[in-house]
Amino acid sequence: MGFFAEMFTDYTVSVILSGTALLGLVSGMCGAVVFVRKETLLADAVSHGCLPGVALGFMAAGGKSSPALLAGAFVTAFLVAGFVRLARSVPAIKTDSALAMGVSLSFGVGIVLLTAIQKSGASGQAGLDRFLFGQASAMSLGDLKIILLAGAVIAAGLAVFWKQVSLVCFDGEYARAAGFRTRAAGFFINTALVCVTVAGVETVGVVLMCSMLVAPAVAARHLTGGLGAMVVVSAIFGATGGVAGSVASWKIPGVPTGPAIVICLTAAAVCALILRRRAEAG
Amino acid sequence: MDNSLEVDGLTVCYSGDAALWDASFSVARGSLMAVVGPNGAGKTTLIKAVQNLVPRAAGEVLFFGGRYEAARRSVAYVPQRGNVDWNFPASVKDVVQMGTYPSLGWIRRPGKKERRRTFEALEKTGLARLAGRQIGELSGGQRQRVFIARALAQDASLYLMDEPFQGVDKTTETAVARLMREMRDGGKTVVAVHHDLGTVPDYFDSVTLLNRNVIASGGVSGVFTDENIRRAYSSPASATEGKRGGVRSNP
Repeated sequence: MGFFAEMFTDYTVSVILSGTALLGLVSGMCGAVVFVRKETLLADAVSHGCLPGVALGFMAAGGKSSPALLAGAFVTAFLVAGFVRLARSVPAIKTDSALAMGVSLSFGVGIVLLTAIQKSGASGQAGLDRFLFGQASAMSLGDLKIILLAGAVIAAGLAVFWKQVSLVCFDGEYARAAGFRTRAAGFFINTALVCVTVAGVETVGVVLMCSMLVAPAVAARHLTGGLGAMVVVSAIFGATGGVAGSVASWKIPGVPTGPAIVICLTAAAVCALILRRRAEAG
Repeated sequence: MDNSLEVDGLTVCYSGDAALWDASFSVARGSLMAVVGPNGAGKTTLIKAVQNLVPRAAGEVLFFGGRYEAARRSVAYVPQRGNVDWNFPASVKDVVQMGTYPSLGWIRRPGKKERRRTFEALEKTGLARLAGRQIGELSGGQRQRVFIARALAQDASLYLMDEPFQGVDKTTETAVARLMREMRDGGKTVVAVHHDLGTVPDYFDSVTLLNRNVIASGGVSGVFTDENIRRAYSSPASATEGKRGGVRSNP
C-alpha cells in the first residue's frame, strides 16, 4: 500500500491531488451548465482570455505574485466574454465567428505580451509559460483554498437559483415571459465560468482548460436524463479525471499533468458514449 | 364586456422596418382567437411584443385592464417548439413542471401543490403515460403538447400560443382543439397564431387578420370573409417582402 500511503502523507502530492480533484469537481459542475447552454466555446474564449491578464498582472506587479496574475486573468477573461457578447450582437457576425475571434484575439494579445516580457529580461519571468499548458506541481495550498471558495460559491448559487438556471438553459424566452431575470441568471453562469477558468488556468493551462469543462459534461450527458443529475455526475467525472490525470503524471515520468487530465476526461467521455450506445442497442 | 387583452396602436420595428404597424384589437375574456396572416405578417412579433419580449416602438397593451407586469402570472406563453433544443437533458415531467416556476418566485422549490398541478397538466394533454420520457424521444406533436402542458401547469387565465397546430399529427391537432374548447368553457382565453385558414371557423370564435397592420378583427362569422382574407394575403406588404405568402387553403 505504499502508493496510497504516499498519496496521503506526501504534502506536495496530497495538495496536488486534492487540488486537481477539486478543480475537476468544480469545472465538471460548471461545465455541465455551460454545455447545455451551448456555450462551450465561450469557455474556450474565456480561458484564452486569461492569458493577456496573466501577462499584464506580471507587468503590474513586477513579478509572479499570485494575486496579481489571478486578478489580471479575471479582468481580461471578463473583457473577452464581453467582447464576444458585443461581437455577437452585430447581426452580420454569427456566434461561432464571434467566439473564434475572441479565442484568437486573446491568444494573440497574450503571446505578444509574454514575448515582450521575455525580451525585456525582467527577473522572475521563468515559468510564466506554464499558463499556456499548465503545471499542476505549481499548485499551492493557497490555490486550493481559492478553488474551494469558488466551488462553494458556485454550488450554492446553483442550488439557490436552480429554477432560474435550468429555465434559462432550456428556454430563455419562456423564462423572460414568466418574469424571471434571465440576464442576471446568464451573468451568474458566465461569472461562474470565468471564476472556474481563472482558478484552473495555472494548473491545466489556457489551451486545455476548455476540455476540463466540456469533457465531463459530455460524459455525464450520455449517462443521465436530467439536468440536476447531469451536473452531479459531471462533477464526479471531473474530480475522478483530475485525480487520474495527476496520478498518471506523478507515476509516469515526463507526462505533464494538464494534458494527462484532459486525456483521462476525454477517454471517460468516449467510454460513456460507447456505454450509452450499447445500452440503447441492447 | 371585459377583455383579457387590449392592444392599441402597437408598432414594432426591426432595424428600421416596421414588422407590425399600428395594430389594434381586443380579445374578450373566455374566447378563442386565431391570429392569421401571410408569412412575415408579424404574427409571432405580435405575440412577443405584447409580452415585452421584443421592444415596442409605440402602442399600449392592457391585460385584464391593467399593465402586463401586474398580470404576468395570469399570462402563459406557448412558444414555437422550434425555439428550444429538444436534446436538453429533461423528462416530460421536468419541462411541464417548469410551468409552476413563475408562481414560486425566486427561491421556493416546487412542492406538493406544484406537483399536483404538473400531474393535472400532463393528464389533460394526454402525456401522463410519457411523464418519465426524455423530451428528445418525443414526436413533434408530443413536444407541442409538452409546451401546452407547461402553460397549463402555470394555471393562467390567458394563453398566448405561437403556432400550436404547426406540423403536428392529427391526434394532437384534435386533442389540442378539444383542450382549447375545454379551456374556454372553464373561462380561459386563448390567442393562437394559426396558419390553416380552413380550420379557423372550427377551432376559434374570433379571428384577427394581420398583415403588418390589422386588416380585420372580430367574431369569425363577421370578419372571416373572403374579402378580408384576400386583403390580408394580397396586400403590398407581403409582396414587397419577397417571402412565400401563400394562402394554404381557402374556406
